[in-house]
Amino acid sequence: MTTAQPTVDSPPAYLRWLGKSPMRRQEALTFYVMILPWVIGFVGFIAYPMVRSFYLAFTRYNLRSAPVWVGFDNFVQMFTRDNLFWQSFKVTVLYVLGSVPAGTLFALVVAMILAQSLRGVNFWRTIYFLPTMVSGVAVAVMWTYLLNPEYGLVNQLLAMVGIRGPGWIASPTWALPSLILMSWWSIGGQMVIYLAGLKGIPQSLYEAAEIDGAGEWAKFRHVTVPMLTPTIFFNLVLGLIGAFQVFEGPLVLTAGGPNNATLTYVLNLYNQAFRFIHFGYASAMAWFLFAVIMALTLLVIRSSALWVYYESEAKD
Amino acid sequence: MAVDSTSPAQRSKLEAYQLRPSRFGQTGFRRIRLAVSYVLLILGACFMLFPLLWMLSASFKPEWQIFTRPPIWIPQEWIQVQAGNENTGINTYTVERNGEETTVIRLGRRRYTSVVGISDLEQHMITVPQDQLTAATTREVGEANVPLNVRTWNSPEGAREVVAIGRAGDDLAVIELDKLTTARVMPLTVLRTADRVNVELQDVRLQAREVEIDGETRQVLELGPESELVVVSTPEVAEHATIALKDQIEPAGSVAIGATELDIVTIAGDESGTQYVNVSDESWQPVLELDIITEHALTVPNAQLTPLDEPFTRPNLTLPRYTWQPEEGDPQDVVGLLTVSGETIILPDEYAEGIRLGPLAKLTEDQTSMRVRGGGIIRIKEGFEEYGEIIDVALFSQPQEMALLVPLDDIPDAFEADGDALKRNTRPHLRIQNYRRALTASIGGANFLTFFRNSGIVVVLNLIGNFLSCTVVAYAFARLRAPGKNILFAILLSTLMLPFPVTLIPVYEIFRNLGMIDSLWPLFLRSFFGNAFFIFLLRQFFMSIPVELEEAARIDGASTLQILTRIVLPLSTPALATMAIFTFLGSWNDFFTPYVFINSPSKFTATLGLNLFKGHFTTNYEVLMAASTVVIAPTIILFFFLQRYFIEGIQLTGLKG
Repeated sequence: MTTAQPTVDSPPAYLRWLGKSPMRRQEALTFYVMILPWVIGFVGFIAYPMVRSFYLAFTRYNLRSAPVWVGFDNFVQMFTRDNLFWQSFKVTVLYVLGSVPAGTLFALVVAMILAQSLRGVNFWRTIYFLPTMVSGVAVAVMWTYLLNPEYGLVNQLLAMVGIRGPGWIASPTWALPSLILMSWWSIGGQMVIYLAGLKGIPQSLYEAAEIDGAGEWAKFRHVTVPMLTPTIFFNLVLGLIGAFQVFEGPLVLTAGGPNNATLTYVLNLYNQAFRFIHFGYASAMAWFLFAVIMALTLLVIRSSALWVYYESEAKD
Repeated sequence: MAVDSTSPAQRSKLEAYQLRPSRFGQTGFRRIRLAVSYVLLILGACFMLFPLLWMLSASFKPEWQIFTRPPIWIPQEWIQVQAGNENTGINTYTVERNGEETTVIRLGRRRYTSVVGISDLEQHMITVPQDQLTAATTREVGEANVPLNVRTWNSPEGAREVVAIGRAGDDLAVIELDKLTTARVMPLTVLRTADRVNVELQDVRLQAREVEIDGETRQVLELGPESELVVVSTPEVAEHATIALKDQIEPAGSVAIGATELDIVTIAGDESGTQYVNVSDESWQPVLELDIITEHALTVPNAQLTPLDEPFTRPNLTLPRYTWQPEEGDPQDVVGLLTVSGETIILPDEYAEGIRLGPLAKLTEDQTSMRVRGGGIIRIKEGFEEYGEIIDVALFSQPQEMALLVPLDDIPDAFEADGDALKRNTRPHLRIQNYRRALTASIGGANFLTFFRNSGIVVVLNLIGNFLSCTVVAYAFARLRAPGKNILFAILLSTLMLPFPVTLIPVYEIFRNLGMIDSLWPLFLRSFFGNAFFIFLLRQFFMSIPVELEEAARIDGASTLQILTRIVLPLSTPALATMAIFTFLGSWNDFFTPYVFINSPSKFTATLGLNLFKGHFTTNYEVLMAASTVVIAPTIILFFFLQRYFIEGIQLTGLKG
């Protein structure tokens, strides 16, 4: 076979890094041309905006006049003087704590019930999955009616079993729990994923466990749980990221009220940016959120070594 | 893990293992577990489905069923009786009388409350800390069946039944139930018009009223609860019902039916002097067939009109008449329909014959408006129901306050009934008008059809954008080799984790500089530059396609793009369907992006429109629920058709861990 010798067909120096043979260079060029749309989009709508917003975080900026450098003022203001900032941070943390673990558990329990080869799995799966199709605004509009303190379905059903329901979205104490309750309604997506994860656990593992004399609990504890941890882990990370950015639920359901009881972080950020035109301050808030989410994600990833099981490890 | 490859001999050995005593009783355990599973599943399913069903049912309800206790699940409509020859009906109820269920209509009502004489309280009042009292429950007490709010007082000496009469600081002043022998009911109208007196009993301030009971003036204290007695009669009474202008009726004493006094009226100028009972007050408004208005009504300046002495009269209705002098041509006698700021909408006499009154209750909903010739605006109501016929009418002049009357002579069988014992007479009925209202109601110059069109445009452009960009980029990442590819792919994946607020403000600036704020551009432009998630999804799928096919095509001289479009894409339908579904869901349900970039209602997407509706129809839940149903309908319908792809797509996205 006569492949082209580098000496015979020497490419210009600026192309040499693309590959040794012309074909490889051709292929590499095609690659760059093909991913060009994404590269442009990445630079224009992600990389540049990130740099820009990082810069804006240290400025005072109202969109009309040029940004004014203020150093760490925005962050100082955020951490030491802005009660609303801490309020929204607290609300969001409480929301994350209320919606993510319980939602994951709910989805897991349903998936595990369905995984034990019940009749009509598809039927149940459809029912649980249906709410995730509904737009967040429609969900919130619907729940404002369901959670009406006097005539809402929730309180009327509670009244039937002799419980006097709270004021829900009208009450500063119960508005955030309302929001969390609403989030549990949309766990269908997670449930479907867990169900697929459970179905994907090789039957041979259970059989092997049975041979070793494992009971139901032992099989659950030593086969099901470890095999499912990667899926749980992945969804937990995505769930955390999503829950920290909750926006339309609190906006439509309660508009952040009553008394800022449901003013979530991103809702507060939106208000700072587009209502009060504090673009610099809002950028600072965005970067703090980014830092918190990153730190949490890293924490979960670090901790994953302790509880997430990867098949590749076991083979060693 | 070699169980699958066990020989038959080994297997029988294994089966022998399984017959160990430890497995005894497992079928029982299984059964319990199965039962518990189903109970939990059904409970969860109720939590998932009830909200949706409740929304769907509410979207078909009339307004009065939105706030009912207990909730009504199946939308209902009133069963009415025709009110005489008038174009209206009267609601019917069912009440038990002498052990039989009777259909009745309401003629009047009186509200009552329970009271007790102050002099009876003095020796027996006790102040009790509030935490020793239970919540009040209403009960009829004593021989007179007086309803009272009874609480249980867990006193140190045991539980006692008491009624609260007032507040003493943080404590409640109460009277024991058996000391309340003189409690009685009294009409609210009597009590509320009586003189107030302030009384102080053992330092507890009470507000009493001075009323006359059995000829002597006594001070009484209102205890509640309020109750209602209604006077009802058989529906036949409605046969001779009639309406009259409110200011044309004159009081003519009252008649007592049981404990309730019904006011009697006569109609001014009515020579027969018939006495009537006023069943209800309502508003009626002049109407006329819409096509007569569109063809013959005109808007003219008031200066061209000379009032005529003789007005246009119909029963209960008077409209002004004018002589109209057009700029060119002969003068004409006309009826004035509506005068607004110097201009009058007129209708020539010969077309005015059909003008009549219509009940506003049937006219108010779904009103729209239109311009008549000459520019004047008139309100119209399409689908007005009149004596069983559905017609389109125009409304004009002012609403008139009317009274619905039934002749006194017709009601000898009227009787009194407890307000709570009256049951509404209804039948299942889906009210599709709610949907019509949701779709046609115009807010800020736009309605839901506009919102849908905008959402549709955004969805289609996003589909095109993602299809064009993501397939190409994903294929490059899946198959082509180039230096730096892995780093680029890692960057691509990491952008999935980026919280959107971080880029929000600069992206807003970019679109602002491009002059795209308040347009649909920001909602779809970015999809033409690829979406990290879909690129990842498609790359995974492309990599699972056997590479041999592509290599064969390459040897035949096909270009990369040809390979992608002719070989790879046709094999990738499942992944493309998943991408299409998620693109659709994402852009249809997206709220944040349009909320940030769009201000004018004419550019709103469906979700933004729904939010706008929520601000507008705050408690008109029947309209809000209809609008929500309409917004979620496309996604739900699509889901039922493409369920497999939805579920597979979700699994693809979540199982990569």
